[in-house]
Amino acid sequence: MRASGKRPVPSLILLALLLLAAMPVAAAGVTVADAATGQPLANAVVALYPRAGHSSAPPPVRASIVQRRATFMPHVLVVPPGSRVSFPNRDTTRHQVYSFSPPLTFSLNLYLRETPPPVTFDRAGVEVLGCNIHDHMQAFIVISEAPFSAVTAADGRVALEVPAGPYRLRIWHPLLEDTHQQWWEGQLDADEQRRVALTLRASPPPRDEPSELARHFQQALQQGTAP
Amino acid sequence: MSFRRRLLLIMLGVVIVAQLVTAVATLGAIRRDELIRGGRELAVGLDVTRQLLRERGRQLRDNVAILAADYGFRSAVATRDTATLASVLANHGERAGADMVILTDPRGSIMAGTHLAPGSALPFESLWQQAQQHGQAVGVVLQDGQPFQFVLLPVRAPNLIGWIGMGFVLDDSLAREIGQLTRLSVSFVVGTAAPQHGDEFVSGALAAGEGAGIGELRQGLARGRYLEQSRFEPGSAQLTRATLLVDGADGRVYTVVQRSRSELLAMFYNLGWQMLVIFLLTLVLIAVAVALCVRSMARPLVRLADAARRIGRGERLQDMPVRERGEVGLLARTLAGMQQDLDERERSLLHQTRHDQLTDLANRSCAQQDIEAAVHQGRPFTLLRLAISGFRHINDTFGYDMGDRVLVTLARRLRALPPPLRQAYRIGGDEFLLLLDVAQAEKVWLTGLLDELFRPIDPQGTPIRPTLSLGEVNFPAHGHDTWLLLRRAEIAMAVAHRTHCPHRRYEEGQDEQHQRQLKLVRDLQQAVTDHQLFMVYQPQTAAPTGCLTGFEALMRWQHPELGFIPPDEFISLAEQSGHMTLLSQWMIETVCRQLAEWNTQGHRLRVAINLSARDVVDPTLADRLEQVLLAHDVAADQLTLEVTESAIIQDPVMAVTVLERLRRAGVRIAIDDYGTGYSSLSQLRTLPVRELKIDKSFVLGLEEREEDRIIVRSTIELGHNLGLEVVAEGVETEAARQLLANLGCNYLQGYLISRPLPAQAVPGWIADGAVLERHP
Repeated sequence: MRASGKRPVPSLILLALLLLAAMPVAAAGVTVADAATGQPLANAVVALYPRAGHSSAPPPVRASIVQRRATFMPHVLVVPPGSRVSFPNRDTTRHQVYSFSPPLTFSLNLYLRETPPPVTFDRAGVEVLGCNIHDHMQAFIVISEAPFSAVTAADGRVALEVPAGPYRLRIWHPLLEDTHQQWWEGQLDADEQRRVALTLRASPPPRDEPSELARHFQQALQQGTAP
Repeated sequence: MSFRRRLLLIMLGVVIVAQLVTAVATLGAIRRDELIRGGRELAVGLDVTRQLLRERGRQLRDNVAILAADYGFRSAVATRDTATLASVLANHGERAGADMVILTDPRGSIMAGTHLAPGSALPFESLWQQAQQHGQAVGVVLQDGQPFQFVLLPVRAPNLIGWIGMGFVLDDSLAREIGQLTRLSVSFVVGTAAPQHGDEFVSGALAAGEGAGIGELRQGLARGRYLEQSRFEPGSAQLTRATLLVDGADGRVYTVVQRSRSELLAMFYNLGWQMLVIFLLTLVLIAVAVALCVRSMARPLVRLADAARRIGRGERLQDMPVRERGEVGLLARTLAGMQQDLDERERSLLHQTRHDQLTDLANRSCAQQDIEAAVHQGRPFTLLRLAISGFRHINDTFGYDMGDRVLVTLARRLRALPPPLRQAYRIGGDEFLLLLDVAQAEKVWLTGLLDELFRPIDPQGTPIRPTLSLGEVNFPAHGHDTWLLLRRAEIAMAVAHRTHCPHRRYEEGQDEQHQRQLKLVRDLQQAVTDHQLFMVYQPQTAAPTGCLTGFEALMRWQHPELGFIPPDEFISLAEQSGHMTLLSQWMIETVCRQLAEWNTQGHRLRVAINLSARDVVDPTLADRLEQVLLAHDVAADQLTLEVTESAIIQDPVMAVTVLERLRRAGVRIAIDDYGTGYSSLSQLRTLPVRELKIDKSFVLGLEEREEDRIIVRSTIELGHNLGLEVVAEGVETEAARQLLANLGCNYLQGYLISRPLPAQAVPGWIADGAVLERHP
């Protein structure tokens, strides 16, 4: 299955570059914000589909999501279908990364340094990652066929160099809703700067800081190792 | 204090006491009940709390069991990597909501834990034992001063790879949850044997500050209070009960349930207020009822009191002013009866004060009133005053019983007299008074009266014929004053008595005479001391020779107002009033002094003095006389004592004795006024007399009347025959002197010889030629 969507990546990139160079290019800007608070939203995926003519997905890439201090980093990763993602563990505790999402169900047994082989995501969709023994660890891999896509930074902005023309605009955010499979749909012109306010309907995410129990454990550990 | 107020106070007092006792008893019982109920609620609350904790323990165990069976968890435990263990335990502890997580190896050595260092042994020995026996354990433990509900379960993969323990703090939310179910203030309290800083663990209501005084509570718990039964600590507002969850070396964990006192006793206080209101209402009601009741009771009493006051003032009430029956009615009837009794008593008293008890005739005061009324009316009327002569004699002779009978009989007769008698009175012991409605008593009527009254009274075959004297006065002829009329009636009566006449009407002047006599009697004593009295001396001469033989001393009274008072008048008054002894003593004194004086002048004279009837029967007279004679050195034979026959007649035996003594003393005794009295020749014979003095009434008529001549001659003869000398007084003419001398009379006395002379004139009179006859 992993092998089915495989293509020669360098030729694709080359082709894209050629196409881009041949077309007049415009800078499309999207700013994503929380409709309720007006605060800019980071980790939003912005995808643009040209409305006119044929478009194809970018070539697959290699990427990784690191576990550090019981956190997946980055929190949101956008890749084209067929991309391979590895999950290296940089913590002292073991993690068991798993996902039951539609694009691909997989589970990597508890591991520490011995990083398992990368996982290939062929089907488009949103993959929700978790750790079986750390309920608060969560990450998302958005497998998107959009020719142009990016993740908003802390200021909620993306800027995409796209050929001129009208585009179909899709935006996804982890907190958009709880299934994590729906997108916000809209229109965008290539040279348009647009602000999108998202109504976030998902449950609040688990907290990030170490719990009381975890701190107790730390204390107990320090007491145990100190002597 | 008035009856009304007293009754009110008593009733109110009884009600207050009863209400207070009831209130105290009721409130006390309710309070006790409330506290018992509260205690029961607390006990139930504790049971429920224990039950809830057990239930929670089961739930926690189930939760932990699920976690322990989790594949990922088991895989993590199986790695035995400390950091992984810690993180998975923390993660799964989070899932269960645990506050303490511990993982041990199968032998109980800590592999990882929140509160315990790896490598140490599980400190919860009893739980461990329980877990070993039953494969699981649930209980409360104390760790780091915090109480945890602790679950210990095995981790199997599938063999036993360790024990997972999770603790859940007995925190505020748990306490609140149980509190909501039990409706009590629930707290979890950790107490050590010796409370240290007061910052020991506490959660629930007490931690929220609902119950102050956690320190005291801890001390109480340390002493084992609250465990057996619920109780109020003094000053605490909470009813408290506790149960011991853990009793370990580090301390004890208690579940404390409390119920606020105010909440618990809310009903009690509420009831208390209600009772107070009821109490006050009852008081007011009772006060009003009692006031009304007492008023209705007291009002007739007040009216009766008023009626009694009016009766006391003399009013007479036809009806008592109350219609009540019962006791008040009885009182009213009694009052009415009392009024009648009073009337009767008053009538009786009035009758008694106005009537004589013995005869039932109207009395003296009644007579006075009636007379005053009659005088005031002005119509003519007549008073007849009558007395029984010698009534004392009747009493003495026949006894007082008979005397009373006489009075009663007379009274009856008087009362039965025909008109114009208006009223008969008894105004003294034996005195009666008749009031007649006529200007003057008619002779016929008077005759009828006397006939009636003088009828013999014959009570027991001893007829008594009372002698009565009646004095009559007429209004307005004899005076306009009650006292005057009565006195004049008395004077008339006295005159009637004196004159032995049954009836005398008052005559003008009698009263003045009477007044004069009273005055003289009154002044007599004064006369003696003030030298108003003096003696005059009338010479006596020998009949044949004309020689002076002596004097008769005569008493004179020159009254400062009334002038010369005739001796007959005042001497008889003195005799009647008992002043005679005084007068005769003075006379003896004066005469003897005079004799002594004359003796010193060389005139040895003989003087005769008059003795009164009183003197004659005075046994001390002789002694007194002798003393006076001795004192003045006068010879007894210089004195002649003249005594009248009537004086002797009154008590002849005593008179003879006295005169005999005087004679022995050497005094010459003469019978004065001989022939006028009831002369008794036998008596004359026994008397020690030397002289007879023929009364001057015979001597004055000597020349005209043959009878007088016969009497004088025979008297002289009689005297001489008895060996007595005879003196004639009242000799005023020479013819009379001649006659008497011829008849052989011894001595003469009279104006022919000389008028009575004042003492100082005597020596001169003698010097003028009188010849003193020498007595042998």
